[in-house]
Amino acid sequence: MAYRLLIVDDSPAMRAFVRRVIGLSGFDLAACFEASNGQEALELLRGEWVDAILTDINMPHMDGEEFLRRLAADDVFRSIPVIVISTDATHHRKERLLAIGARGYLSKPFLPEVLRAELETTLGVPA
Amino acid sequence: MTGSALSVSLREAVDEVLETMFFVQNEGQAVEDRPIEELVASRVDFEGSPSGMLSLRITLQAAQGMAADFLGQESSELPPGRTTEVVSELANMICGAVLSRVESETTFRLSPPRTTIETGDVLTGCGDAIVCRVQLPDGALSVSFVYHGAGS
Repeated sequence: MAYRLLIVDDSPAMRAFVRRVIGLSGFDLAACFEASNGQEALELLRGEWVDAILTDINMPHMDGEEFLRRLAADDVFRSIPVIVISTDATHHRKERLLAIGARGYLSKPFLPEVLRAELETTLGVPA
Repeated sequence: MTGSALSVSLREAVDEVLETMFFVQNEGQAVEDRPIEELVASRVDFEGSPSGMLSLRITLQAAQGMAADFLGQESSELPPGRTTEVVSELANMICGAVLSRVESETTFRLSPPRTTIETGDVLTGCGDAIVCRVQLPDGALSVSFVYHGAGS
């Protein structure tokens, strides 16, 4: 099965990197959408279904925490698993984001195989 | 936290980010007396507990090579501004990696990196910062870290 992903990050370079790493890792990708903040991501989700979302935290207009809260408050979007990708690897931040709805948490820097494993675990991809 | 422990954390964070995200090996301490040259400079401030800043300077050629590797493109194919975007990410990731090593139980907020292309000595540190200087295949990198911990 191939999956549809959404990458949310205000850095075009980071979005391109994540997309590239997913491809290099051998993850089965059907489509990959991009948004530069939470607001843009919510607008995109009104027209496109995705199987999982990878999101940054520090973004202008709508940051990752608010984006997670909006997803959790939506009857349809709350079922989409979200993996946070952040430079902040502190326990406090990780626990807070998992508590408001993140399904996975990946701190930068990360290896391609770690990203793939996180995606497969979150999506329940059979080994 | 002592200055030497911070210095070790900074060195470890720089090496980890370079190897994991940029596929670049640290080739040792950068040699002094480099010429004045074009470089990319980036600064990230962090606030909360702790507070401080990280300042990074990398020679332009090395930055272009790393941006190309990061994005899987040739240096000549990089769109305008993409090198400074990648250097911003480099600064952001190193700062987060250092702080996560020294303050795993607290919270901090990073400001968006401010990144410019300048001319100067890439190895210049700033003030009372802890500095890590690295030789790269295509140039040099220096990272200065100023830290005011919760108890300092």
